[in-house]
Amino acid sequence: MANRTDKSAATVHGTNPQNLVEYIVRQKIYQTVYWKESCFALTAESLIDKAVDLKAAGGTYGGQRKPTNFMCLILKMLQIQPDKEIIVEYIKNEDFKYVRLLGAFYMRLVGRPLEVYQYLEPLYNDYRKVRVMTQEGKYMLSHMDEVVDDMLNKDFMYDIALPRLPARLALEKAGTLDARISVLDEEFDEGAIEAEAADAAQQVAALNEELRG
Amino acid sequence: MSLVPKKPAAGVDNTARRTWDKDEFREKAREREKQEEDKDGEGPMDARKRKRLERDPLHQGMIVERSQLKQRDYQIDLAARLGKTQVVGLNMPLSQQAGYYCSVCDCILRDSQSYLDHINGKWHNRALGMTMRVERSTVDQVRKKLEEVKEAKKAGNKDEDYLPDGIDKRILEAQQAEEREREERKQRKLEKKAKEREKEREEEADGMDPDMMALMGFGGFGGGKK
Repeated sequence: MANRTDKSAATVHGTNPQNLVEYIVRQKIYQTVYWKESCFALTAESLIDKAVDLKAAGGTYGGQRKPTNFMCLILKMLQIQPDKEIIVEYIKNEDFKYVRLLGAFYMRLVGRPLEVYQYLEPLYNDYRKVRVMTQEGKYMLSHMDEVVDDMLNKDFMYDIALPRLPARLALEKAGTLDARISVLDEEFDEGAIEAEAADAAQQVAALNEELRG
Repeated sequence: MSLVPKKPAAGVDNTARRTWDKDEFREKAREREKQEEDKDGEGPMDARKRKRLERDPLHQGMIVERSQLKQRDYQIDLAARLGKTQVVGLNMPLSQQAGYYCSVCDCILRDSQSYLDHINGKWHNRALGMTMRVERSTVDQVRKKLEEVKEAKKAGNKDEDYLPDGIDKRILEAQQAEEREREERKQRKLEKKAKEREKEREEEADGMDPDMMALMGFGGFGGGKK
């Protein structure tokens, strides 16, 4: 009963939300001491205490495929199914990187495509470093925007098969999503303008020489 | 795989498999259960159920409604009795036998995994007067909590850098003492060097003519010192 999904939870992508995590990985999580000791009877509020103590993101590691604490908390969130506004709060907070990642990953798993793009794309501007646990069991350095990019483009992440996300182009054509304007676009544009100006100046100089010559 | 549902194939069972006579075994099971019953006509399953209901405050009328599931406020120490030797007897109370003892349900669990499963289980929590449903948090609670944790983090950092009173003075004194020592050592070294030089001069002078010394500075042999 400690592992059953909350009774009032809605189905997600057609199944019990906990089924998004594959059966074997789920059983591994249920059997960890972290899940049994620390993840029992958590609410969306008390989950924050645990999430703040997270030191790394990651899936399972080692020969025994031990799940990270990050995975345990993701499964907990799938079990209690917090409201969308609460997840938005997790994503909006800027002080705690791993709380943000939890919110973003949960949104990717559970949210509708439009919401996923809407809430995850602003995180592209967050370039802070994050620690990721690799399959071998060693920590790897990554950045928040790299992780979010993986969430939006990969199919399989942290030992969970990500639900299908339609390509951005499809949503743009349907008119529900605007074209993406990156923060770096301005810099690129400035660079392009400068390059064009330089080219134009060169061409003028060349023409002048021809005229003289 | 065709999309048309197939009808179950009619056929003869030509395998040489043993089939079970279900009625006969149903009878056997019933006989066994009757044997296990006490004089009150209660089997082991019923006994367990009765004990559970006796522990449950809702059934005993002590509470009206079960409260929502809360986290444990105490830390579980799984390694408390690890490695310790103890004499046990069959007639001793369960609390003093080997394994993890649950005082609420008066039962022993033989390993830490099953102990944790028991503690997190339905019957134990019902005996504590809680249902297995967790409270649903609201957005405001979450916002407040995020603020609180942010404050705690800021305050917490100060504690790490906490230094006892008067340590500044002590640090200063220690630094001054060090400097003094260094100076003393320098002085000693200089004095030593000066003494050694004088000694050298005396030795070399003893073997030399005063005239040679006047001509070529200190040493005739080995070149003059500038």
